[in-house]
Amino acid sequence: MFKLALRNIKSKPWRTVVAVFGIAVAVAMIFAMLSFRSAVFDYISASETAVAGSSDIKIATKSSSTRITTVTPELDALEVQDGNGMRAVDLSIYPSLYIYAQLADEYVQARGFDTGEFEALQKLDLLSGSTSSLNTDDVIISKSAAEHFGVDVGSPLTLSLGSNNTTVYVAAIAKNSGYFLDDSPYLIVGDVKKISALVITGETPLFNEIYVKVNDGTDVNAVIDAIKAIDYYKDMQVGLSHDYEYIDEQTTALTAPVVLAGAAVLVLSVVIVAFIFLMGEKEKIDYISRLRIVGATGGQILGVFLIESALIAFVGGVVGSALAVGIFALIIRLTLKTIVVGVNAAYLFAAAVAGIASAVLSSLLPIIRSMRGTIRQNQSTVQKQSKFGFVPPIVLCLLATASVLVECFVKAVTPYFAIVSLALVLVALFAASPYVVKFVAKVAQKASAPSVKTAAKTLPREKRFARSTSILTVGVAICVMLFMAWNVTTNVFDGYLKSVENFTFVSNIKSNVDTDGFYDVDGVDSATKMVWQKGSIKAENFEKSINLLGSGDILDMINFEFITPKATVKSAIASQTPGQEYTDEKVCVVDISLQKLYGVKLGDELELSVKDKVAKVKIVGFVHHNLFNGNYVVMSSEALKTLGVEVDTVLIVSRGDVEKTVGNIKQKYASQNYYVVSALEAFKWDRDSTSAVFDLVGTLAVVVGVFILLVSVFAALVGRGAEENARTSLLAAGMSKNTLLLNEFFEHTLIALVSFVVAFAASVLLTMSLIHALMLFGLYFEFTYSAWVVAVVGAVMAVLYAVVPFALNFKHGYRLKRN
Amino acid sequence: MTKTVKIIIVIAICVLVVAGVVLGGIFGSRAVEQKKRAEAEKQAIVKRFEVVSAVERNFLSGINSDWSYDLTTEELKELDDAGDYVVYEGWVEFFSGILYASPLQTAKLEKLSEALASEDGQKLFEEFDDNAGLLVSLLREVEFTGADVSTVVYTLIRSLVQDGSSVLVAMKEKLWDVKSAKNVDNVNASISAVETELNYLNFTKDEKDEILSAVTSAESAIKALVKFAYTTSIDTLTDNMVNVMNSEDGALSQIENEEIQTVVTSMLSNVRELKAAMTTEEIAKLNNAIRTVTDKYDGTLATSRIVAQVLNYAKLAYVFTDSIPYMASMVISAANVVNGEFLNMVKEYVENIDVYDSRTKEVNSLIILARVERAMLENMEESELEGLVNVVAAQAETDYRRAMPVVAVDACVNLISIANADVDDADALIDGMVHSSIWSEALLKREIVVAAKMVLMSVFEKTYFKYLEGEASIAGLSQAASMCDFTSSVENGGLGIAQNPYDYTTDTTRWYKYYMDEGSAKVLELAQDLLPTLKNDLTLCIEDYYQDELQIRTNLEAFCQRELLSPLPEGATDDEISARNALVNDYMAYANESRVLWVNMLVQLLSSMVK
Repeated sequence: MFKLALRNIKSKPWRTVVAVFGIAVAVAMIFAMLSFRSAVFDYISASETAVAGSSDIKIATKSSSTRITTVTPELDALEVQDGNGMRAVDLSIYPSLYIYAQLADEYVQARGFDTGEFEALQKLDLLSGSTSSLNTDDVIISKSAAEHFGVDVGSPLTLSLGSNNTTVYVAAIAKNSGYFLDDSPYLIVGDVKKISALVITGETPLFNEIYVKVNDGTDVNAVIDAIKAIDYYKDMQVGLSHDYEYIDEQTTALTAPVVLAGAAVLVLSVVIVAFIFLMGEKEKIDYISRLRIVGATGGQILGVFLIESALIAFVGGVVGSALAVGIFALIIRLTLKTIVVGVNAAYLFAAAVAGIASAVLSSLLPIIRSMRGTIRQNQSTVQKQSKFGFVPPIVLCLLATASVLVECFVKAVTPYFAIVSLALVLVALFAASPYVVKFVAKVAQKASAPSVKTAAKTLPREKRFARSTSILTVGVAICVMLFMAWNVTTNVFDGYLKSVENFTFVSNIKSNVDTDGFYDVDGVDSATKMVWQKGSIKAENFEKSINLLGSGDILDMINFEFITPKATVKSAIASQTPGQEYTDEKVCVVDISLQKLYGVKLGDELELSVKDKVAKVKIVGFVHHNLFNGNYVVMSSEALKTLGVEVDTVLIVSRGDVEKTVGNIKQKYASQNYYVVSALEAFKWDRDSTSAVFDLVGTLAVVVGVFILLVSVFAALVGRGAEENARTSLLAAGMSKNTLLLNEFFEHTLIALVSFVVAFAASVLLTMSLIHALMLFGLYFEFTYSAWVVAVVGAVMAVLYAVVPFALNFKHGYRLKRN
Repeated sequence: MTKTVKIIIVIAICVLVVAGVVLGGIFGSRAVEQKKRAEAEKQAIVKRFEVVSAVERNFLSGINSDWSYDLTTEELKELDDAGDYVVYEGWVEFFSGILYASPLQTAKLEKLSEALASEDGQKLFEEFDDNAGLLVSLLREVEFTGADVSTVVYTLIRSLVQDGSSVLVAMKEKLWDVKSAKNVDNVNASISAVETELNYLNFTKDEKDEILSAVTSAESAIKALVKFAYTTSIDTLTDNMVNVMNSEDGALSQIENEEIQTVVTSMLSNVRELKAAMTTEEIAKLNNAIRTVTDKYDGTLATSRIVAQVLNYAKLAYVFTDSIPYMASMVISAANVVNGEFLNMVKEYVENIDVYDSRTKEVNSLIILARVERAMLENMEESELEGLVNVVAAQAETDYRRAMPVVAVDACVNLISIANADVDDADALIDGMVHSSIWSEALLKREIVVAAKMVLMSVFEKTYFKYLEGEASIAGLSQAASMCDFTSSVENGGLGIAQNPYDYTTDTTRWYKYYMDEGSAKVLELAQDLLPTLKNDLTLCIEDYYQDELQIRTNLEAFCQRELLSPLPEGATDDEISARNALVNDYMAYANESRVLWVNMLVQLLSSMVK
């Protein structure tokens, strides 16, 4: 049986190669889709945790506290309450200084750690230089910073802050990992004694942040409470170093569309594997019947097929695993530009198993089909068509229509039925597209050109065309979905950046800063003190991270769409106290997406958490803007002050050139340790990182498209291999090679055209369902459809498929052979 | 070959080609990277060599602007002061070697080279002994850190022990080579000086190993002490705090009280580091190292002023090493006085310092000092202060210089008390002492002799070193010896040493060593006799503070409540002046009763010793 299986494999080498390649591609696609979310999570997580590294708790000064801090004896000997009373906690404490300085007239981040503690929170991955024996005035910078400033190991850097200068020396250049994942502005890591010289002359170590690691498993929240109870730290910000919920939400926001489309890709991958093994099904059924004639038992036949498919599937699985890791890692490196590439072995195993299992199970289909007929029937070249074959596609189309209607008109179940609609539409496409091809072919039979006529007659007859049509149509539809996912999120993000492009943020201020001085700066239209912080809101049925915009003026500064009338909103947040513009009552304005997603209404209360303060706030208005994907809450700074949250940012609206205004402000306040940056620059990291993720999505979409196309082409090649006799007969009957070539070209063209048109039409529904389905992930987007994206993607795939006969020079293989 | 095999071969070739390209790319780029790195390292070495050569060049031209760098033997033969050149060149190369091998960044050495060529750098070379303080400001300008200075100093000491004699041998050989008719006198003088030093440094291997071992074992203590001395000299606590308070800009502009407390705590990190480094074990090692090195090298290397200066600092440090942990505690405790109000007071004092008359200035400085003293005493335990007395007394038993603190402190304390007594009336003097019951005429005389001899012998020692450097005459040296009055009896104010058997004109070194050895032994003997009384006296002084009936604390508290006196207005009337004098007298009375005047005298004495 083993020899027989091997002989079968060797007898059809191209088919074997295609099968192996197809399985490999399927495994690679399954792995890519499974790993996508975790890759993006790792990427965002690495960046968000770059600063705090492996610490658990962060103590930081804030605008209403002192600007510097220190490790007090009480912190060193911290105790927490447990069942048996107070007990000491094993902590590792790493104070650091974090300030903005100037280097060659540019902002840089200067971070100072105690001597010998540079790698306390993050490992330093060095490209050149060494950290084995650092001097007090040695620093480490990133490769990007070294290239930007044109420096190398040993170069001096003169940092300045106000009237204080200090010279440091580059001891090592690190890769853009660890601390240097947050390298905007460029980061300089050095000894705190030297960095402190920017604040106070001499070698006095000053700190404004303390990172704490809990070593003995004590509950981190209990430790936080114990630290807050120390008088010295009561006005400071004490909390978890990392907000994993926020990271998770960020990841979800960026990956949800792909996750949804990815599910379809997963199914398609399995279908492709099945499709590959169904190629030449007729031959296999014929072969089975011949084996039965010579006396092979059912078990022996099963054994042969299983061995054959197991061998191919195993090789395909192994190749696919290597391909999956290699290609996925390459894509991640190229798009996310990160060295943080984790390969989840479980996903890889699952992908390989899925591919192999699909292959093995699919190989059993011909055996099952052969059981249905007699040997004679199986050997017959005439394929009996089912009379009721058109029923399933019609039923599926009707079901898909019904699901779409429910999705659109029954708001309560929209997101759930969106998932159902996505699945049904794709399945309906799969089932119905061959019938569309048949219909089009029937119409095309009326053509006079022989090549067209012949192609139109062949198309409905051969099963391989039906399968190719299904695969290509669904493949194009899924590819279009991925590109639409990319398009939706890109437009949304780019859209909101436009609305803040004339904003400048001045942070690192004291809460009592006088804004009058900013009005004297050329280019400043308005200067508003506000709170600009991350926080979270919680209600009965949801909890999410938000960006808190703490100023009533923000409603005029950003062009919100007022769902609740503007006058009503303004009235609700106005103050009753003379001399005070906005109320100090805890009221807020939120995005309409909260209502769409979670059903919140005017007057509902939300639990707002910000800077470890918690309060109930009442919703007094709904607005709409794409800012932060709708994850924002507007409150007055007066109300936040009653909570103990002081203003920490001055928001400048510029007239004219924003960068010039930024320069003017920096010049005026050069001696202060303010951080002045335009909104576009401030969001540069967000923009770059989300762009990177969008690039990843786009690249994945292209890769998936290419793979689908390749599989379709290979399938076509293999399929036509079985029809060589038919072509030879046509040539023998007098058809010219050119006509035959045109015949094949039209076959491809008709399939491509039908796939394109059907996928294009379905893409509207698919896009709508995709956007509705995103609500399940807590994301709300207005319906966005870019027809040009769909047209371009579909057209490219269709054209490439259509020109295969010319591209692969089918004409060369035409032979007049004796039968 | 079957079709399958052909296909397999084609695929295998494709895979191999792709793998080859990828691996080739990876290894190729790594090889290129490594080559670039090797090239960069080579260039860095060349650059460092050039920079250190520039340092040497600027050093030499700083010493003598006519001296060029790296003169050949033939060129030196034509140089009148070739002897001096060779000697300085030898030491400069020795120091440069230390700098080259140090972890100091090349760019920083380049800055040092430029600084040496600057005006301050030139001044430093002109009169090194007088301008040694400029060295610190020069190093500060180049942004030498405390760690840099401590590493260089430690390496200097160690290298001196290890290679000092080799340097001198090489110098001597070169001196012989460059001797010519033009420079014979100068070269001969240099040869003689070098030979004399070589004689002193003619250690056996065991002796050398012993010294080296002593120095190596005290590495962390030496470095900690040097680092502290350097960083404290360039940034005093109040100087920096006043600067921060004054600044309207910067990260700590408009500093608030809580922030001041945090800054002060941070500033004291140097002190805490020093205290932590100076354990009993480390102090013992440090003392051993200083003693060993100064015994062997002190006064022997006249040709190197930097070495001589380092040894002077070492001897000074040796006086205080045992007390460091206690003094650190005192500083940390005293720093509790620093808050916004105190800093405003200091700021006011500094702003008006040129405007005050002398008495107002004195009183105001005493008010500030009183607050510091109060903070220190409030935050230290009585036992800690007594511990300091015990340590200071214990160290006095080992070396006459180390007896200086206990004698000086007690002398200061009692001098204030007997300031107005008749110096010829011994009984009046004794009655004026703070704790007269423990004193007798003989003990008092002994204390006066010991205190005076310590000062005079220190002058004698300095004069001898200047004589060796050619900056003092033999007559001046003899005069300094006469001032010490070694031979008179103790009762007559001398030390009762037998006549010096050596002639000071022909056998100066042995003559000097005889007086110093015998004199220091005698002073030590006298100090040891006094020790119980001195220790008792100082211990009682501490106890006095904590005794309510003496009201010292109360008086101190009352004095601390006083505000600074404002400057007298220009053209003040006589009445105003009288009123001011009366107020000053009142303040001074409080200062006396609260014993702030003693502390003031001690601070002034300490400052003069450090300077």
